[in-house]
Parts: sequence; C-alpha cells; structure tokens
Amino acid sequence: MYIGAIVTVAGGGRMGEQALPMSARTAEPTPARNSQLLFDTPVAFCEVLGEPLLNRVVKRLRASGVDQVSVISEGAKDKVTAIDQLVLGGNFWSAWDSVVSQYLHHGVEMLLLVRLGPYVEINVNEFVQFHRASASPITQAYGSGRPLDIVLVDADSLRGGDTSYRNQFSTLLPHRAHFRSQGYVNSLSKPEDFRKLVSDGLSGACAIQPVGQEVRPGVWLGSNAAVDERAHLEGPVYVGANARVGASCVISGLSSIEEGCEVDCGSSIDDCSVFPGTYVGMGLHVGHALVSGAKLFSLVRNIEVAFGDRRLIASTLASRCQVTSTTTRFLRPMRSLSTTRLSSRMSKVASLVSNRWLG
Amino acid sequence: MNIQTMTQIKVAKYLDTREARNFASRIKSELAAEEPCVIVDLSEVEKIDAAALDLFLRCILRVAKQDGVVRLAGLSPQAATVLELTRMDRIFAMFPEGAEALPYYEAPSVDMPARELVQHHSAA
Repeated sequence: MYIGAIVTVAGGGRMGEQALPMSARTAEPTPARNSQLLFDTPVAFCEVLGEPLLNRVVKRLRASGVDQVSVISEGAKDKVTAIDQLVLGGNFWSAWDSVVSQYLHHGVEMLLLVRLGPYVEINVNEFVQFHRASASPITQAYGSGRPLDIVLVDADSLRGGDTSYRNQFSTLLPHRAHFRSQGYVNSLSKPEDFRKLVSDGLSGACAIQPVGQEVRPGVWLGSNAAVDERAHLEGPVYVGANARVGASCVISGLSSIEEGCEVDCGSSIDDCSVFPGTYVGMGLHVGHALVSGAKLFSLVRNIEVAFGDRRLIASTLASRCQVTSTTTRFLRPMRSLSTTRLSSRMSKVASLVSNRWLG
Repeated sequence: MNIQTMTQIKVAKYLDTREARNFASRIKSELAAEEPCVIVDLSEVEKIDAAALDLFLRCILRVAKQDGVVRLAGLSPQAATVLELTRMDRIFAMFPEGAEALPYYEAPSVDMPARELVQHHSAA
C-alpha cells in the first residue's frame, strides 16, 4: 500500500485562543478548535525532550510505513527535517491542492491527513486495516470521545473530479467511517497541555522518548550536556544537548531543560519546561512554568511575563552578548589601571551610590 | 505600633532603577518617623529588573533598621511572579490589596520582625 501523508502545522493564534472553526475550512460542521502557538511559535516546532514535535510525528509516520510525508504550515516558518516537502505560508488551500495533485500523480493509493495541532499517537496499521475493511472512501480517527484531526482518504475517490481536491474532499467528509483510536491524545490547546506532554514523555505515559542517555534512572542527558557535580537532579528530569546546569542547582518535578540552555548557579527548576537557548540567572526559583528566551509563562497565574533584565531570564545569546560587552567595557580602563586601583574606585562608587540613595 | 504613621507608596508600571530611586527618595521622608510603616502598592507593576529589586531591597532594609515595617500589597500577577522567581516572596508578607493590608497590619505580625530581617540579611 502506497501511502502519502500531509501534515498540517497549526499556527493561527496563541494557545487558548479560538482559531477558525473547521467548518470555515472544510464545510464540515465541527466545533471551533483552538490553534497552537506557544511563545509565538507553532507548538509543532517546539522541542519536546530534545526533538521538535513535528519531527517526532513525521518519524512515527515513517516508522508506521507511510511512504511520503509533506508538511504544510498554516503560517510560521521554521526548520524542519526528515520530510519530503515543506510548504510555507501563501494560500493554504492552493498549497494543499498542489501537494495532493503531486501525490496522485506519483500513484499514491491512500492519503493520510494529519493536523498538528493536537498530539495523537495512533496505530497507523490498525487505522489502515480498519479503513480498508470499511466501505467508506474516507475514515476519521476518534479518540477520548471526540474527533481527532487525522483522516485517511482513498486516492481514487479524489481522481477525475471537475472541482478542486479540497471541494471533493469536503463532499466525501459526510460519508466518513469512524475509527476509535486507543492511543495517547493531548489536545495541546493550552500551555499546561504542553507541560503535560513533556511530563508524560518523562514518566513514560506516552511514546515520546528523551533524546540522550539515561545516566541514572529517570535522569536523561543530551550530548555535551554539562551538569556541575554539586547540582542535584531529581529524576525524572531531562537536560538537553549542550545545556549547562551550574553548581548548587536543583532540577526536579519532571522538568526539561532543552538544548543550549544555561541554568546558572544556585537556581532551582521545578515542574518547568525550559525552551532551547534560554538563560536562567543565578539563585532563582522557577516553578510551574514554561520559560523561553526572555519570557516566562506562569502555569499557576496563567500569565506571560516578559523580562527586560538579562540577569534574570533571557536567551543564552543575549546573556552572552551582555557578558562580552561588560567585559569589553571593563577591560579598556584596566589597561591603564591596576586591578587594585580599579576595585578601589568601584568600591568608592558603590559607597557613594549607597550613601546618596540610602543614607 | 501607631497605625497613623502608616504610608502607602504606589510603584509605577515599570520598576526599573529610575523608579526604584524615586521609591528610595520617598522612603527617605518616612525614615524621619519612629518605627515607620510603609505599605508598597505593586498593583500596577508589570516589569521589574534586577537592579531595581536590589535597590528596593536595600530601601526596605533601611526601614527595617529603623524598627519599621514594609509590607507589599496589591501585587500584580507579574510582580508576584518576579518576587517568587527571585525568592523575595519569602522575605515579605504580601497582601492582595492595599486596603486589605490594614487588618493584617493591626493583627499580630505575620512576617519577619524588622530586627530579625536585618540580622537574616546581614548573615546571608
């Protein structure tokens, strides 16, 4: 069976905001759905335990015997690997029609349509078998009592029509068969859903495996991750590739520190997902939150807080720039001053400042 | 402690070094009183930087040295998040609204007594 998949990356609004209802797109009367943007990035592009969610989905499809995978993004651009074709921006439906046309031209027998969106672990082989046994040209997967954004279509049913593939697809939808999936489902409609996905990956509740080595039970380290020997990791936790965890840090509560992050000395991270390239300053306590660059989303208060101070929370690039510029600023006077004289001046300045404002 | 000496200071939207200095100059006038009591209203604060936090903390320590008390009230969610992040929430008693702080103030103290606060900070 020659199967071609089209994975649609949702990205029309922030998590929790309502996106266009499905009915506006496919003339199908389904309830309005949430779209998935997290820190202004489609959730499909967000890294989960060392690998973007989209890559994981594409790999799963390939491992299940899907021959070709194309990805169409509803909006944002990002780096995606392990796919045959990536269509970005532009008119979504003309891109969709174009990909379907190419698949039919290459002799694809079945089309698997996946919207990401929700994260679903479906047994593709069972899904295909069910579809072939049913008399319907189209089958939609259902999980936890609601429709999932996964549909299987006979390619023949789309061939030879006079209208666009989109219209033909819309005509078929009312005749769809229902496949009940028993696999893991996460709607990813709210930031806490993303956090749950990471926790479920670490606790083994879903098929997502951390990318790296399990150095001791429940403690996963990516390649070149540097954890100070005085730091304490309470598993299950994940520290991604090239990430750094400083002395006296405590990482706990199913937290993930993704690739290239830096957690500075004495900070504690509990029940958090720290997105790639984030710097967490010294002596902080970050709990029940998602952290990305200079932004923190508090899962307790359901608010996003932006930081303008690079010593608290920032992107690692920004914090390195600051260190470099500070070093340069201090190195210039040091050429003419001895270290003792410099520190003496700095003490005087500090003393003057404190006297002026506090005394 | 005399309730009539209590002063409420409202902090601006962005608590940066400049705003913290304004706060410091306002605190100065409070220091003339014995056992000053300052309620800091953080209801409008959206952003706080580390330098401001440092200066803010030093001002508060100064009040504490005068045997006074500083309490935080009307915390915006952003301010509460930053105070938790920097662990400053462990130092202060925090109340949801400025007016609601009054009964707490009249009641037996629930936060760290001023002298202990100074000793605690000096030890750290």
